[in-house]
Amino acid sequence: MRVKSIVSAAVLAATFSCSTTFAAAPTTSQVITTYADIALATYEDALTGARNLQASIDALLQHPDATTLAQARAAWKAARVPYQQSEAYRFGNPIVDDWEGRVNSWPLDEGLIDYVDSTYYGDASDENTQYRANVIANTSLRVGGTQIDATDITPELLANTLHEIDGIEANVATGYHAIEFLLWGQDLNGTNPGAGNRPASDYSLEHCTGGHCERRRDYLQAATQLLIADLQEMVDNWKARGTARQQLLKKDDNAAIATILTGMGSLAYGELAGERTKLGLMLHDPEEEHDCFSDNTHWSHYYDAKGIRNVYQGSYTRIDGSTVEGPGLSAYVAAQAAAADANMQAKLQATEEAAQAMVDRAVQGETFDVLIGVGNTAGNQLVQNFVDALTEETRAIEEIIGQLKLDQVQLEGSDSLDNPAQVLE
Amino acid sequence: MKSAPSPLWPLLLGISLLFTAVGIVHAAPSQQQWKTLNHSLVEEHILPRYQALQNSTTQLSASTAALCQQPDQDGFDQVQKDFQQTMDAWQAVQHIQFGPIETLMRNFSMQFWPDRKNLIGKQLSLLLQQQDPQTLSIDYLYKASIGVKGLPALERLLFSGTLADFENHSYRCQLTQTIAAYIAENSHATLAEWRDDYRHSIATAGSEESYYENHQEAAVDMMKSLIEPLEAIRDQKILRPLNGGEQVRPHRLESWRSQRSLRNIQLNIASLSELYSGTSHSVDTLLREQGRAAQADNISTLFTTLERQLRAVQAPLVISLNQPDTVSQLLQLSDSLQLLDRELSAEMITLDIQLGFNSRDGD
Repeated sequence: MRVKSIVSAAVLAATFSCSTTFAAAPTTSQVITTYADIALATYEDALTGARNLQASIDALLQHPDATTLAQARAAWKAARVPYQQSEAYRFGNPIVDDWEGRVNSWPLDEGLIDYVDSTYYGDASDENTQYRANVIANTSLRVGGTQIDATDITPELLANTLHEIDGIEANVATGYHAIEFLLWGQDLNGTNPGAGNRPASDYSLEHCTGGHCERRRDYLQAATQLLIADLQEMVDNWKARGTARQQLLKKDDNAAIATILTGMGSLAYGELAGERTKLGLMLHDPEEEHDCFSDNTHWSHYYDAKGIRNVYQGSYTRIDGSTVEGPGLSAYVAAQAAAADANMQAKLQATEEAAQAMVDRAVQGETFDVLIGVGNTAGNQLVQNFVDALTEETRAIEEIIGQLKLDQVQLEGSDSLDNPAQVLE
Repeated sequence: MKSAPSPLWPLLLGISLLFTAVGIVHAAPSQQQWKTLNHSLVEEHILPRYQALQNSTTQLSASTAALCQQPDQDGFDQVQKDFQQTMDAWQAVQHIQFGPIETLMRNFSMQFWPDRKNLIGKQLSLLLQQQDPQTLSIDYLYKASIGVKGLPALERLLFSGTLADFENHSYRCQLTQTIAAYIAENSHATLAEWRDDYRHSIATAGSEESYYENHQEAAVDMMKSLIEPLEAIRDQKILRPLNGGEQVRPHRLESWRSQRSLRNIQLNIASLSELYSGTSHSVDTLLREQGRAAQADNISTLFTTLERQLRAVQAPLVISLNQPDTVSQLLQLSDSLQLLDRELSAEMITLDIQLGFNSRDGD
C-alpha cells in the first residue's frame, strides 16, 4: 500500500475553493465561551471524582481488606474518566500545561515512593540517584550533598520537596499515578495479562505487609489531599473570572481559535499517538503504558481522544449524565470550510472506533501492555491502528489551520517564543 | 507511518507576526522551483549521506564479526573506531526523518534516544543475563524492542566493556555482532528504497506514481528536516543536560559513553548548514530568487556563528559540562539555535510552507 505523506494545508487551501457562509456561523466569542464552559464542567467533574476517591480511600484505611481496596481502585478509575477528557486543554493553555506535572506526571520511577521488586526494575539508574529512595521506608534521604528530613509525610513534603527531587522528572511524588502505584503496586506480569497486585494489608496497622504501613497510609492520604487541592485550583481558573478563561478572552479571535486547535493537535499527535502509544509499541515494554500499575491505559486513551472530540464539537457529557454544550468549533469551521469540517468529523469518529477496539480487547483480558508485547502481531496492529487514526486526525487539524489561515498566529506558551534570544553579539 | 514520535515540546505552528514583514507580499515559489530544489537535495544531499551510512555500517558489521572470530586488542580498537565512523554517518543524516527511514520504524531502531527511564540499560542487561541463543538473530531483532537493537545499545556494549568481555565467543560479542549486522541491513534497505523508489516518488510528485500530491508537498518534508532538528538539538542535546540551572547532568548527553556528544552537535549543524545552502539549488538560492536576500544572508551568518561557537567548546562534553565556562557557551549556542529556528520559520511563511504539528512536545 502506498502511504500518503503529509498534506500541507497550504496546498489543500489552494486546491479547495471554500465558500464563506455566515448564516449559522457562531462568533469566536461564542466558541470560546463554550470551550471554557466545557473546561469548567470537566475539571469540576474531575474534582468530584477525586473527592469520591478520597472517601473510598478513607474507607480503605478504616478497614483495609480486599473489598475496600477494590472499591478504592474502582474510584480511581472513575476519577480518571473526566480528568482524561480535560487533557485537550493542556497544550495551548500555558496555565494548564504548567500545572499538569503536579497531577498527571508520567512515567515515574516508583522506587522513590515505596518498595519495588528489583528483578526487572533494577537497583540503579543512569539518570536518577533517587531511583530506590523509598521514602515510605526511610525517614531521611540523601540528595547530592544534602540530607533531607522526611520524618513526617505531609502534602508539603510531597509537593515541595519530593516531587521532581534532584531536578529529575521521573521522580513523581504526587498526582494520579503516584496514587495509582499506592493502590495497585508494581505490575509484575510483564507483557502477560494481569495488573499490579498490592495486598490491602499494606495499609493494615495490625497485620502490616510491605513494612511501614503507617507511613504508607500517610502518603496515600497526603497525595489524595494534594490532588483535590490541585484540581480545585484548576476549577477556579475556568470560572467566570478565572485566569485561564480571562487569558483566552483577551486573545485576538484567531489566536483564541488557534489555541483550541493547538491543544487538540498537540495532544493527538506528539503526546497521545507518540509518547504514550507508539513509543510503547516500539519498546514492547510493559512499563511504557500510561496507567502501568492499574492496566487502565485503554480507558485513559479512549477518554483522551474523547476530550478532543468534546472540544471540537462543543459538547461534553458530564459524569451525572447531563450535557454541557454550546456553539462549538465544528460549527465555526463548517461555516468557513465545510469539507475540512466533514473530514475532521470523520477522523474523530475513526479515532474513537480505534480506541474502542483497544477497549474491547482489554475487556477480554488483552490490556495495553499485552497488546504491545513482542510477537503479538495482531495486538501490535490494533495499537498501531490507534496511532494511525490519531495521525490522520492531526492532518485534519492541520488542514483546518491552513484553511482558516491560522498558521501565522503567534501561539503563546511555545517555549520558542517565550524567550526572545539575544544573540549575534 | 507518518508519525515520528520522539520526545518532545509544544509545537510552534507558525511564526510570530513580529517577523512577518507587514505589507510585503511575496509570490510563493512555483511547482517548478520546488521540483528543482527537491532534485538537488535528493541527489546532492540525501543520497550521498545514506551511501556513507551504508558504507560505514557495512564496515562495522564486518569488523565486529572479525572480532568475535578472533578477539584481540587491535580488533577491539578497530570496532570502536568503526562505531565512531558509523555514528558520524548517522549524525550527518539524523535530520532526515521522512521516507524509507520511517518505514518499519527504522529511525527509532537506529537510535532510541533520549532514554529517560533507562530502558536500554534494563532491557540490555536482561538479555545479557538470560543469554538466550534465540536472541542472536537478525530476525529476532526485527521484532525486538528499539531499546536493544540500535546504536545506543551498541555503544553500551562496546564502551562499557573491555576486550575480555568479547572473548571466547561470548554472548556479548555475538549480540554486538548481530546488532551491527542488523544496523547494516537497515542502512542498506534505506538506501536501496531511496534509490529504487522514493527518489522517483519525489521527482514525479503530482503523478499517480508519487506519494506526493505536488512538489511543494514534497518540499514540506525537506523543510521540516531543516527546521525541526534545531529545536530538538537545543532541547535534548543541550538544555536537558544543562538541567535548567540546577546541577548539570552529563549522563543526559547523547553518546556520552563514546565521548562524542559535542561532535554529534557539530555534525548536525554542519549537515543542516549544507541542507540550507550547500547544494547547487538550495533553500538559500530559493530565498534569493524570492527577493529575500537580506534574510538569506542573515541565516547564513547564523550558521557561521553556530559553527564558530561550537568550535570554542571543549571536548569531551561529558567532562567539560561541569565547568561554568562550558555552561555559558552552551547557553549562547542555545540562543543562536533559537534565533536561527525563528528566522528560518519566518521564511517558511514567505515560501508558503506550513510545517504543521511535530512529534515533539513534553511531559
